[in-house]
Amino acid sequence: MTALGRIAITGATGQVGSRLLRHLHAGGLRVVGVVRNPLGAALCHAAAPECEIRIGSLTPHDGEAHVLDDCDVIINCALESSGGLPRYAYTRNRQLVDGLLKARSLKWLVHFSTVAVYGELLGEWSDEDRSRRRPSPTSEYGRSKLYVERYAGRRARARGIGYTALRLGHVYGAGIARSREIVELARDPGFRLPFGGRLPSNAIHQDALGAAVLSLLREGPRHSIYGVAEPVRTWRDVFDWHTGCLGLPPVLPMADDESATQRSAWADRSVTREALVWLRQLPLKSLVRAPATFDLALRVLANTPDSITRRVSGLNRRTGAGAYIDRAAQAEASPLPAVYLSAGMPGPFLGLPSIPTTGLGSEPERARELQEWYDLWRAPRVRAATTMRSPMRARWM
Amino acid sequence: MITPVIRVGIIGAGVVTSGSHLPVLVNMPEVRVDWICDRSLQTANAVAGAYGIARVFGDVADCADVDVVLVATPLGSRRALVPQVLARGWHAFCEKPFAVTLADHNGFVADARAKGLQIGVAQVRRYAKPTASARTLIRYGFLGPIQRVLAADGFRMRGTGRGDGWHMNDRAGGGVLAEFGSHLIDQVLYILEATASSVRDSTQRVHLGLELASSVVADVSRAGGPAIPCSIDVSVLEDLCNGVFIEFADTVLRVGLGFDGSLTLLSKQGETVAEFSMSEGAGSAVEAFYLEWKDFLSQCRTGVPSAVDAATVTATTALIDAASAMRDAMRAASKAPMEQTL
Repeated sequence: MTALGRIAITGATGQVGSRLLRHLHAGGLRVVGVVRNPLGAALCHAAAPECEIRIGSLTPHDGEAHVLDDCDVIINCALESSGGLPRYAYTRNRQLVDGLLKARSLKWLVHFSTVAVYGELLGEWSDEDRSRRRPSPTSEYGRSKLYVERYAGRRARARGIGYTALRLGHVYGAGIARSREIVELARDPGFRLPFGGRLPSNAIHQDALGAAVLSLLREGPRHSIYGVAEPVRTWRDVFDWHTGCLGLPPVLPMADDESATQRSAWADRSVTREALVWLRQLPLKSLVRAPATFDLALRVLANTPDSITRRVSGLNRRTGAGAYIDRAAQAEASPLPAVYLSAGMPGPFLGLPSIPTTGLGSEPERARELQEWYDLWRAPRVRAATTMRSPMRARWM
Repeated sequence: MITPVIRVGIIGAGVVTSGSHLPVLVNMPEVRVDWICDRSLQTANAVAGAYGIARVFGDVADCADVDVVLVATPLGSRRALVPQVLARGWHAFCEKPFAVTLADHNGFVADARAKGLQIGVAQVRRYAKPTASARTLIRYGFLGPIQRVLAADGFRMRGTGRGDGWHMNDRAGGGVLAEFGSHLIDQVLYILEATASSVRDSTQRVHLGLELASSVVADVSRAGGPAIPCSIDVSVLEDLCNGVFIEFADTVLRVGLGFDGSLTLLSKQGETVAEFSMSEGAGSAVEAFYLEWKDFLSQCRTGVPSAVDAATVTATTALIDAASAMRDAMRAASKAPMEQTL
């Protein structure tokens, strides 16, 4: 691979982009974080104060200078919001890609896609190559990401620009939403890890991701599409890492038959089933309890022979409790996210360099950051410099 | 004089107007929204089109007379705008944060009083079920004397959308303390029925001139009781333990921040002991915006101050003003450039 010029990261305020900035800078690359507005720049500065930050439009009009005209590589971590309008996810992200490809010096576009292109619940695959080339997303998010990934590839190739798609697994680490979910599950005494955690996690620590992208930039791509995950890590490994760092007890395993039931619940999802669930949530009770409806029912009952009302009343007693029991059972067995029940995603995977022994990305540093982050949100605390004295100091768990 | 149908004008066509106020106002039978005014006529036209508002203006000076206006423009614009609104003889309902300084706040209220007009502040979180219910619980003193209060509203902002971040600039929008803190501080002071506060400490994290995190410790006074130490944290840089935690001798009351939040009694160790069923307040944002408008319009009709009367928000502005003054004094003393984290 020839020497790299300037590398731009879009979506630099995000949880992945901001961490990548730090890793690429620490790796000695000339890296630029690009944001749309001063607030983005300030957030970026807070996360990676040592890095160059630029403010500008990523979708300049024809003839306008591009904020990234001097960049040879763009790593696109940006995700245009749909603003509640699903079509925007397609049109805005398409515009974003077109805008990025206008950068004059651009030679290589690295585009962040997602494991969601394989569906919410990943099944076992028999043909890895086919699975990678023909993924079948089952959510709108996955569909729009796959569309943009393919669109970016076509447009980049048409312009003679190198293109690599990274299908990113579940990123974890301090400050990351997935880790928050994992820690909250681990703190829930009722939580059980499906299949004892034997399933592949499709997860990757944010620092492993940073190191892997750095390595990709240095060594160049061998494939056009990569899966990005720690392929040998199971959910047991990931949960144990979190609980171990935070001094929490390891999570208990869920029995295989119960795990299989949970998995089937995801696999068997259908429009009809979900329509019925939705119908059940309609405020029918309010309608029945409405004074006019209630009065109508009383009128009907007042004119109904006793023998029938007694029978109906008896039937109601016998069956009525069933609905309450069903509801209570459903509340207890709230379905787990499909990610904890999925099989592994297909490779090839982006190579993961070994973990450094000290500094950014080292194991002690990862653990320290996780602990500090956890301490911020697990219990209320006084953060201002002044010490607050109180006769009662709550001892938070 | 208020006419049977209340004519309302809207100044500022931003997200809070289009997403929160207008959906309520256009569904209130006693209200007629006559016009919307915004520096960006394109934005104003888009909002007017969505809500069937007949007239659009780009300058308040051109607007036709109405009974009440909603002032939903950035904090930095208020010093010029509020006196202009009052001079036209319109009652003013202002989005939070209300004023840059306490002097501005008192000036707006005095101006309105002198002209016989009503002025209110949309501190909508006062209407949230957890807040309203906690206030009642605290008023009756069931849980004993309060030891201290820890309040936090923090999340790691991961995207900024297409806005320009004006609300984090302490000159334009007040920074994170005024923008987000005005909700949290007002919530704490409202629950405690505070009469005054004294800031002990105030620290901010400023990046590239924008205030992104702020921590304040203040002693909050209540009628007939000792001052209560309160710690208040707001941040867009980190996830915090969000909520208002009111500590008593043997227990802690956690007040959720939002409309769908809970009101929970915790043990000293943070375990949930009981969750209150809340009979007061609004369970949704729409309900809360409706209730605050109903209260303010009633205030306009009768002249009787409501829960959103601007005078009831004085303690909130005073605390933010004092914390900001401490921040500015520290900046001046350290001569720290804006780029540095303070």
